[in-house]
Amino acid sequence: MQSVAISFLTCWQRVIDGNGIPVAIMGMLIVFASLAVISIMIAAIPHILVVVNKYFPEPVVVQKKTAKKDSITDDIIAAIGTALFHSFQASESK
Amino acid sequence: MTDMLISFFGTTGFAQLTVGNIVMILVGLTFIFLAITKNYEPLLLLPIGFGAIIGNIPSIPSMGIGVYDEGSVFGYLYWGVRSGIYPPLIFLGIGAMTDFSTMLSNPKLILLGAAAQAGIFITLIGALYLGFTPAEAGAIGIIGGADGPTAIFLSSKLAPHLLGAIAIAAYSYMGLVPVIQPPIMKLLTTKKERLIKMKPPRTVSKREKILFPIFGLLVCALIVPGSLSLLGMLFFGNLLKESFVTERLAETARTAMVDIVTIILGFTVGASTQAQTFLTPQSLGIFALGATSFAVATAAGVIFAKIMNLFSKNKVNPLIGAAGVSAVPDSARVAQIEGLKEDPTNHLLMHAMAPNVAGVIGSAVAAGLLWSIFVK
Repeated sequence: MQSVAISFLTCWQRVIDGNGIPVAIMGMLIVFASLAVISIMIAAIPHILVVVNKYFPEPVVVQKKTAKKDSITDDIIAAIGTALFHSFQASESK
Repeated sequence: MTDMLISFFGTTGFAQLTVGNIVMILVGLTFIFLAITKNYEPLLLLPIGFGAIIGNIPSIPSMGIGVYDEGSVFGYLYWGVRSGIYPPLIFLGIGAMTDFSTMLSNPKLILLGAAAQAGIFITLIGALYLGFTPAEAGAIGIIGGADGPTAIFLSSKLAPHLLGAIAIAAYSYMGLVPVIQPPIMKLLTTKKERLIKMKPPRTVSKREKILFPIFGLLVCALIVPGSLSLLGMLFFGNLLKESFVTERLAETARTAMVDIVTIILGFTVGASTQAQTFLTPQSLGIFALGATSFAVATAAGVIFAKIMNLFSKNKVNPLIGAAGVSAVPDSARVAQIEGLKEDPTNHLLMHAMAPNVAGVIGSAVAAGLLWSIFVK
């Protein structure tokens, strides 16, 4: 039991010597603060853009209406034509 | 004739193969098996697995074939890993393929990505406890960021001798995200919490998308200049994408370029896992710490989401807290799957992508910070 405690203390001493706790706390705080600032900045962007858009309005992209594509393609027409041709040929031979 | 044959046999891989090499070749084969049959991070595990096989085929030292041999082909390819060149290039590609819209539409979810980075710093303490030096502990801790390129970048700067083990641990656990995260998510949430439906994200304007990478870079790089290599490229890639005037460059960055770098990076990292340098008690410690860091990061994200719900009017489904672990998009997908298990109509993927991409930024900031603290 005593050896386990000594081993724990030895290992823990390494954490202390390596400034583990201060580095971890400072690291977490800085990462959190950086992302919190980004979060605030993102939340502010729409408000900034309201002002910007007043003077420099965002160009509205008008999508050109594309002509409605025919649902009957050339292949289908060709297939129908071939079918009719065969059908007429069959009726003529009768 | 017989002497020649005996002498030739001495030069073959069979004569020099050690048990360690065989173990590593089996590890490589396992990675290839997992990539092909289980679809676990195949883009990475397959090159790493094949690289591990190649790296563990012994050769005559004077021939200089391996990644650690100066002047070898693999050595030149590995130089990009050692000098930390490939990770920023991958970040450029990630930036060019990432849509930050969900994060921009609900900025408070960024905090979940920040909370999940706790895994990095708790692991750092664990690594110091196990006897690693502070610089090594910093490099090991970044595994908790669940970001392979970031882990490679930082370990190339702080602990190049541990790069192979750290990279393999990071990518292995990223592949195992669907296995590691769900039990922790379930353990820390109630059924009622898992059923929370979130408001759909708002539409984000083009100008917001363009301003974000510029402001984001300024904020992060000015607070933590060490993150410039990674975040500079990430935000640059994103600006290429969102500006719509450099579509050709963005297309190249997110397809051909990122693919080429991924192939070389994965392959050379795999080839660097030679048994003599990889199979050490240190590597076992790194793997144990890596698993802990993923678990802690997941738990931190989920718990922070629950804390946010105490103060927020619009409730957050705590399952998306786990997506703060920046394994994109795996951890977001896990949140989606776990959410659907409780309520098949509750789609969390869009919401989970916000902490997920925030986690990428968070882990890069943490890497820059650790680099600036431990750089000699």
